[in-house]
Amino acid sequence: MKKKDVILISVVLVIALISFGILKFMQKDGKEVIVTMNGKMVYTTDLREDQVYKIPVKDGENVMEISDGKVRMKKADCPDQICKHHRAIEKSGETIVCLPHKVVIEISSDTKEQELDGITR
Amino acid sequence: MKRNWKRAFSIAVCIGMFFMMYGCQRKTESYSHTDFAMGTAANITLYGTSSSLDKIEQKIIKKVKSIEKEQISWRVKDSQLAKMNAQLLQNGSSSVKEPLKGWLLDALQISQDSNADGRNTVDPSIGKLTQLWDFESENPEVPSNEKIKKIVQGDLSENSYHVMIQDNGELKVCDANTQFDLGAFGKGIGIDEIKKLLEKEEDVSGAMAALGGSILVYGEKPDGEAWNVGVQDPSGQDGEVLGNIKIKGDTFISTSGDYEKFFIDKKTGKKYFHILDSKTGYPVKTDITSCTIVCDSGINSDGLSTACFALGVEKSQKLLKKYNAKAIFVDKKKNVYVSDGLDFTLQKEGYNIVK
Ligand SMILES: [Zn+2]
Repeated sequence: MKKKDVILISVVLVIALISFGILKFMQKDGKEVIVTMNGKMVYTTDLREDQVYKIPVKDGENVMEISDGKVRMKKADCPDQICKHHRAIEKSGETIVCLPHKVVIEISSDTKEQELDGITR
Repeated sequence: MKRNWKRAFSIAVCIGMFFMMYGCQRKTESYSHTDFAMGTAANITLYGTSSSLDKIEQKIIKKVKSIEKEQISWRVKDSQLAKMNAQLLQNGSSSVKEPLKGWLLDALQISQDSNADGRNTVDPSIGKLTQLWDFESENPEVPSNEKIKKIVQGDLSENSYHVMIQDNGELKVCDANTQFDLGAFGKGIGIDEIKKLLEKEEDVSGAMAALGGSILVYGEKPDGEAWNVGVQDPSGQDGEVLGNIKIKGDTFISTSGDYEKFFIDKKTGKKYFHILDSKTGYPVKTDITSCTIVCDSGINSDGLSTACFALGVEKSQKLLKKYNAKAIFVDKKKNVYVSDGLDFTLQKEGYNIVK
């Protein structure tokens, strides 16, 4: 193999590696917070954006809060109050469910670093 | 000339490598969605090479909803079970068709096997009692002692022995208070049916389906690792885990606990939870705060979790053996009892694993 060949191979390899890196970078590494009502998505946002969001439930109130990369149900007027007492979630795959109002807050991420596949309760 | 070949070959190898790397990135697709069915949150995660995993998920949810509405819900008037209950009240007999027939036979068998201390610790035929308490209503209350006594006075404590289902589906009962409620088995039936649906989908390589806290892990995870299921800490906040179980695919996991559905009586301040003793008519007396069952059937895992919760560690062993099931018990003193062969890791402090 000549020197030229070696250079050529190196160049192609470097290009390949860079493209690979870009592809990987393009995939969202941030976690997304998805809010659904009755199975339908009503809101998505970035877990890194601190905010308070009032979920548009018809008869009642559910208010979600994101702060420091954690999501919790700040307010809820559902009869069981389970969603309000759910611990704050931060890992991908975790959910907070308000059964009476059929609301789900879910953290999703393309990178599958999900720790638990589910929780039995 | 020769050199050109070499060069062309080198470039080809490089391009090939690039695509290989790119290919590795584009592995299995995944799709996850949470909906509501069977009075609980239904979370389905699918892994596979299909581009229509979302459609498959919709099909699954539709199926679960139809099982509830058309077959097993006692609240939905037109369901097979509700019609059967109405006929029983009218003339003390009825008939039952598949698939409900099969589910009922399984549930009755589990119920009979769960017998201890003169009562079945789980029983699908004591619907009158569970409906009287109605833990799922908005404002559950303690029923009057008279009403409870009236329901349990007959042989209701061992009622599943006295329900006869003929091959042709004819159904006869002895106790006039017999009404069916598959509440302790419904989510298990749901995840059993989900597994059957998944088996028909060749493009689904792995899946996790949770109906409330009843879970099916199916097939393989994209990374080939074991499935990892958390167990709710019975005295922690919802979503706080006691520890995690590592298991292979095609396994069912269900939990029963005193923290699941309960209410506090306003007058006495006493806590009442939803697992009832068919002998007394009141919530069962047990040292256990949570019981998790791991086995190869949804209906078994669901039914056994209720039974073993009531039975406690010692008395459950025979039942677990018969159904080839493994269990994790947590008692009120925060002792954790784990069946041999179960890969469970305790994460929460303040608990003590008993060997
Ligand atoms: Zn709620």
